[in-house]
Amino acid sequence: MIPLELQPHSVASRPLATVKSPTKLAMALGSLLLLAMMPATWLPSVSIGLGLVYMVIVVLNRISVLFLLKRIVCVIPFVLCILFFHYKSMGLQGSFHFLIRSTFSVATLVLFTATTPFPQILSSLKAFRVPHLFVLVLALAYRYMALVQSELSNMHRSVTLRTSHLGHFERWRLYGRMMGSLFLKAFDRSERVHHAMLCRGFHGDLN
Amino acid sequence: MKDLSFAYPGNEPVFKGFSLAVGKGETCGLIGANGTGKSTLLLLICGLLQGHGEICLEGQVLEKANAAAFRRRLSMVFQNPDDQLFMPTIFEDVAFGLDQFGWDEETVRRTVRTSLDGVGITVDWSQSSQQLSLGQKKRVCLAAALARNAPLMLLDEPTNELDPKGRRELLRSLDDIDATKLIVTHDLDLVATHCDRVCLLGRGGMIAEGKPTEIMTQEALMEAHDLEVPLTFKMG
Amino acid sequence: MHIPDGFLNVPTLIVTQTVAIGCIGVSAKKIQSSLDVRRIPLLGLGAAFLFCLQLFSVPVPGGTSVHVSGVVLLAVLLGPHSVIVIGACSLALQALLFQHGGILSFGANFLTITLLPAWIGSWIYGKLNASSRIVALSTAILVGKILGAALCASILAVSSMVPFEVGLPAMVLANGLGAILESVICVGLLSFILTHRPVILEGTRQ
Repeated sequence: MIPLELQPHSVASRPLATVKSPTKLAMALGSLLLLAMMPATWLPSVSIGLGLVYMVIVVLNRISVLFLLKRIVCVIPFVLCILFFHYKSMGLQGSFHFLIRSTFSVATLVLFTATTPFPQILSSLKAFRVPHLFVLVLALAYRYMALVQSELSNMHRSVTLRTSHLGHFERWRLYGRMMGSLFLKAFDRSERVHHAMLCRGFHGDLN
Repeated sequence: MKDLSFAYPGNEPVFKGFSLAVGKGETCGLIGANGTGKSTLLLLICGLLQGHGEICLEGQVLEKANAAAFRRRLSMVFQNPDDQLFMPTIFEDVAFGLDQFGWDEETVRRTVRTSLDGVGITVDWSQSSQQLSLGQKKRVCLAAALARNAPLMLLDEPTNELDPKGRRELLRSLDDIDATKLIVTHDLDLVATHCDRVCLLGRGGMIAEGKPTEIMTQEALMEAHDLEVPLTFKMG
Repeated sequence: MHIPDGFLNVPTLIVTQTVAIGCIGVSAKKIQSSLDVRRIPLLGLGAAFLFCLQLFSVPVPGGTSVHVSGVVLLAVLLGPHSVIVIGACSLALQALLFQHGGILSFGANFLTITLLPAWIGSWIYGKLNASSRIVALSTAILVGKILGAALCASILAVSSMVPFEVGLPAMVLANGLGAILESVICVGLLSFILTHRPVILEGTRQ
C-alpha cells in the first residue's frame, strides 16, 4: 500500500543528533543555498568537499547507504527530463553541474532528517520563528499520520478484496466514499483530542 | 451531582434527576450496560457537555463561565490513549497543560519524572508514545493525569483491551493514587476488588448504589441490567 | 508536480519562498486570532488526512497510478485559510520524510499545489454551488489544478528549467486528466460526508 517509510529508527542515538537542531537546520539550508548558487568553476571543489563531509556523516551516524541511494534515485527521472531539454545548451559540464546540484540537494535533506529526531525538527522550526500554530499542527499531523494511514490501509484492503470486478470509474467513486469515511474518522478523533486538550487546561493560547 | 438531566440533541434523555455524592478519597465504580450514559456522565462532570442540574466539586459549582477553572481541579483519563497522547514526545504529553500552573521548567521536569516513575514507565521520555504498547500508553495517560495532582480523577474504561499483565500493572498504579476516583468500567472484577462504592446505571439514571459486596452480589439485579456477578464474588 | 531542491534558480526561490511564507503567516494569524481550540486538533488531523490522501496511489487505465491533491475539497470543507495551513504541513512532511519536494523549493510547491487551488477553487465553488454541488466541485478542482499547473510551468520556465511552450501544455494536460480522476474521488468523498454528517459543512469553514 502506501510505503510509509518513516524516519530510520533510533535517530536519537547517533552522534550528529547531539548537535543543536537549529544549527543543523541552518547548516542544511546553507548547503542547499550553496548548491543553488554555486558557479560552474566551484563545481569540482564543492562536490569533493561536500561529498567527503557527507560520507563522514553517513559513516559516523550509521546511515544506511542504500536508504540514501534510494532517495537520490527518485530525483533522477526529473533530472533526465530537464537534461532532455537543455543538454545542447548546457553541454557536458553544465549537465554534470546540474546533476551534482540536484543529487547533493536531495542528499542534504536526507542527511538532515536522518540525523534529527522529529521533535527536534519541530523545535528548530520554532527557533526559526515559524508560527507556533503551524508547528503544533505539524506535530499533531506527524503524531496521527501513522494512525490515519493504518485506518486507510485497512479500509483499502477490505475494499480491494471485495471489488476486483469493478471498472476504473466505479472504483474511483468507491475510493471517494472510502476517503469520506476516513475523513469522518479523522474528524471524530479531532473532537476527542479537543476534549482531551480542554481537560488538560489548554485554551488556545499559543504564546 | 444533584438532579442531573441530560439528553443528546434529538434523542431520549440519558439521565433524569440523577444524583450521586462521592466522598473525598473514595473510589467509586460506575457500571451499567452499554448506552446507559456512563461515559456521558464523565463528560458532563468535565463540563464538556452541558446538562441541567448541579455538579459540585469541593464546594465549587460547575457553571459555563467557570468551566475552565473547574476542570483545573480534575483530571480525566479517556478511553482511547491515542486521543490524549498527541504530543511528539512522552515528556511533552505528560507535561502538556502544566504550564497553566505557572511552574518553572525544573519543577515541570521533576513532576513529569515523579509521575512517570509512579506508574512504572521507565522508557526514554524523549521518544514518541507511538511505539509504546497499549498498556504502557494507558499508564502514560495515567501519569499525565497524576502530574496535575488534582483532587478528582475520572477514568473511562481504564482496563479496556488490556492483556492480563497490562491490566495488573495499571491496577497497581491506580492503587497508589489517593485522589478521589470515579471509574467507568465494564471490568466488574476491577470494581469488586478496587472500589469502595459502586453505582449501577440503567436507562434514565441510577438503579442502585452502595458497597460492591452489597450491590454486585445480587444476581437478579445484575442480570436484569445485562451484567453479571463478578468472578471475584462468585468464587467467594 | 513536486519540484525538488536544486532545480530552481535563486531569484525564483527567494520570490516563491517569500510569498509562500507570507501567505502561510497570514492564514495562521487569521486562525489564531479567533482562538477556537477546537480548530487546532481539526487542523492537525486534517493535515494527517491530507498527507495520507496525497500519498494514496489510484490506479488508472494504462497500468500506472496517479495521486490526488485534495486541496480544493478540503478548502470547501474547512475553508481556505485552514487548508493553507494544512496543505503547508502536508508538503513539509512530504519534503522532510520522503524528499518529495524540497525545503528551498517548498515555496514554489506550496504556491502551485496549495495556495492557488485553495483560493481559486474555493471562490469557484462558492459561486457555483447554489446550482449543483457536483458541477461546482468538479469545476473548482479542474480550474484550480490547471491554473496550478500553469503556475508550475511558469516557475520552471522562469528558472530556465523547462521551456514554457513545452512545459505548459504538458503540465496542463497531465493535471487536467488528473483533475477528472480527482473530481470523481472528491465528489464521492463529499457525497459521503453530506449523507452521513452534513453538519460538518455548516460549522467548520474558516
